[in-house]
Amino acid sequence: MYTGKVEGTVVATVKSPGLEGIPLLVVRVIENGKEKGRIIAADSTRQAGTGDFVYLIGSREAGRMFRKPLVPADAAIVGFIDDYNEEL
Amino acid sequence: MRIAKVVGNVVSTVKDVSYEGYKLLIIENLDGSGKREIAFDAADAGVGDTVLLIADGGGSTIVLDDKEVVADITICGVIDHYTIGDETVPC
Repeated sequence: MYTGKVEGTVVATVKSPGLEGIPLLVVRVIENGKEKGRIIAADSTRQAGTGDFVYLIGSREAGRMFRKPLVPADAAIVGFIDDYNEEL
Repeated sequence: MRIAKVVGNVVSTVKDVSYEGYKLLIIENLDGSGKREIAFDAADAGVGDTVLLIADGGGSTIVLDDKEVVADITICGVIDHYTIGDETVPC
């Protein structure tokens, strides 16, 4: 899993039916402490908001977070980070 | 599979319900990328350990022996040492 910071939201009324009812958020990927590109992630916690430091899962597992078939997500927020303790 | 070093841990109280009870460790890949990622711990690893990772959802489900959890990177072993050619890499 990887870390990121929520930067915004996405509203798309016309989209794949598999994405209906799934919150889409703009996330700035953070890798090794450095800000990388922005991605759109599905929010499986349904509680994330702008500014939250979160961790995400990718590829097929992203869709599986929603426990229903045919969710076409390749990135999903799975939790909030309270403490991130690392040796530099 | 991959070899990585455990360099830290993550505390997260609000998360997917299937993640309850699992230790989340920060690993640094030793494949030259040095990329740091968050992994599930299924081998009771600690900071400083060199570990064996599986980076696949299906494999992780087997290692964690839990059908509910949705994981991608999971620590499935602690490495004593490994050899490359005739060089032994201490861990």
